[in-house]
Amino acid sequence: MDEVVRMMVGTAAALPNVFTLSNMTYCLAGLVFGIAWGAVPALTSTMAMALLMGFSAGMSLEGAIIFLLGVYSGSVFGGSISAVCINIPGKPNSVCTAIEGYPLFRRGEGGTALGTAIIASSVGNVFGTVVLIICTPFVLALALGIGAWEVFLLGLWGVLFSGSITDAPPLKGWLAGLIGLSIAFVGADSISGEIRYTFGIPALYGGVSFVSVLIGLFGFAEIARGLLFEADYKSASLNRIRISWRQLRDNLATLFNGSAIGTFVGALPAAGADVAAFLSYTVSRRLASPKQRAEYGKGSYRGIIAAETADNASVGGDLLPTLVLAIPGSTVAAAFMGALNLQGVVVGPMIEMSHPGLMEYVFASLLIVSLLLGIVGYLVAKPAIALLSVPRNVLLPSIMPICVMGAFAAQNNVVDIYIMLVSGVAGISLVMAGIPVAPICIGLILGPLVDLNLRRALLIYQDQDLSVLLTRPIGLVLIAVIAITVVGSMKAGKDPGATSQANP
Amino acid sequence: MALITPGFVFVIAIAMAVTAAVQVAPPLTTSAWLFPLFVSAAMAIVSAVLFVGEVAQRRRSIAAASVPAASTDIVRATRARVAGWLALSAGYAIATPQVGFEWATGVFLIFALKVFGGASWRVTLPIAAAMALLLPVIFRRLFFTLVP
Repeated sequence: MDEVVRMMVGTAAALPNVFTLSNMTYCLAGLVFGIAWGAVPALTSTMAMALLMGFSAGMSLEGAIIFLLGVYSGSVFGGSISAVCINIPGKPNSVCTAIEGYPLFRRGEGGTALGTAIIASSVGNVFGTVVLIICTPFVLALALGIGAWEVFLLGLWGVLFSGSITDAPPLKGWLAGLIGLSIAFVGADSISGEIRYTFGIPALYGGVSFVSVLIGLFGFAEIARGLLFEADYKSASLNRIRISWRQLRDNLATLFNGSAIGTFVGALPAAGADVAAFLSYTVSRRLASPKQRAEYGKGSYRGIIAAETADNASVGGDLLPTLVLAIPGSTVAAAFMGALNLQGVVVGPMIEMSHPGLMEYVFASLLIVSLLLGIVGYLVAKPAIALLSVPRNVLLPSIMPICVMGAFAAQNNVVDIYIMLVSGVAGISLVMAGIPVAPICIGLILGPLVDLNLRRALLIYQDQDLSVLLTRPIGLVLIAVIAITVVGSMKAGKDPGATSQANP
Repeated sequence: MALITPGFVFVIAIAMAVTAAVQVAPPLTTSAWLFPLFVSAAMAIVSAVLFVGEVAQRRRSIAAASVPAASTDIVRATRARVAGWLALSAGYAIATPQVGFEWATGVFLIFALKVFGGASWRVTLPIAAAMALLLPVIFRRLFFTLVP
């Protein structure tokens, strides 16, 4: 309990560092950019983070953190704008908001629906942040107690789990995860320095740039998909955004449940805002009275609150395994982790020792971002609707130069532009084959961690019978979890040969 | 693509597995190639299963494969657009370090907005010029990054 108090005091002490002119400018810029970006269908949160992480390398560490957290939180909420106004969820996590918000928009209650979504998102973000602050000391203590073997198993589970929770059959998800791990092998081995899979190209000795691959998969490939395969959307207008305090008061339990579900789901490796929103929406529907249930699908404020609190609460949850275990809670968190790596910050159980006070600064930043999300969301949502009048065919090609710059900016290396291009082409091929690309990102970021810790574990026990690894209790639990994940996913009855288009 | 992609991944995985198998040396437990060998072998197995599953599914549905001429035209047109977009993007990526970000971006956006976006010259030219000239300034001044 002392540790929780210490973390809270540390977070409070970090607040003055957040309230500097430059950091607050970055915070507001991140929120405005994130909300505007999220409002446009086809522009995802991961895409925003992937594009900006390269540029963040030029900022101060504190500025980069608060800017990216602003973009992250803002873009998660932003998806609800197009969901409510034009019935096109900007992000997968806004599908439930579209189901309930658009009927309200057609009834002339679009402004109230959006106002409700703004407050629910802000409350969810704050809740997730508070839970993050409270839980971090416990998870940190747990993380410091586990060895290399357990970290390897945890990372492996993260890769497998990310493959299991996509829309695609599990085999396709796992193949994507394995591709990500394979890309991570390229370059010099971290223990022996042995060069692997570089084909004699010196530029690859340091490994494949995570930024370039991420921009290729989530920038280049998504632009191509939106431009070549998706129809244009219609524009919309809104008179006034109204906050209905009555709706919020009547749905306080949903607000709490959604926040709790979102934070919990966010903390699971690779399960992000979309899973959180769907689960919370389903639970709220199950718990609803018959009268409330009848409103679902026809415009339910309760449904909007459930989905919006959960997807934004997942932001705080996402950061828990990301910061403490170095296992990203989602692809967006993976990009955040990559951005911290570019700044020379190695996240994980040792973060408190290697960068004292940094975690508290992240918490303080997220708290301020969460509180400002409601105000900035209220001010920016209506202008952001104007972005929907920009034709997709004009907007998407204009993002391509930012992809090229983003790939180059991380290391000022031209080879990274080519890697971005190859990753983008591969991403298009994979999506067309129904193979999801999100697990590639998780595999790529977890690859070095998994590889390093397996090698460490094998080195530690090289003079003993390796079966001793199977006697470690936490390891055994993790092996059981991996087995349950694999068997459970296979039993879900998905056809391995299915050709359905996967949701990336 | 559902057939080609797993097939391509299978070939890559086999090549990676063979490379790892050749490189892995005793003591096995400390070799840098042991885990890549496992991963590439698993990747080969999974991609092979997907490939075989896809072939089997195609055989099952081959009887009902009377595709209308119109739909094959659409497929052909889509493929041409995809190929065109990839060629344009590849050209852009390759040209950027050679001729500079400003020129490459300007030319790329003119082609992209006109050919793929179907935008008018009144929209295309100002956007291409603005992006080509303003983006480098924003990147240099705001994000303190170099421009290729």
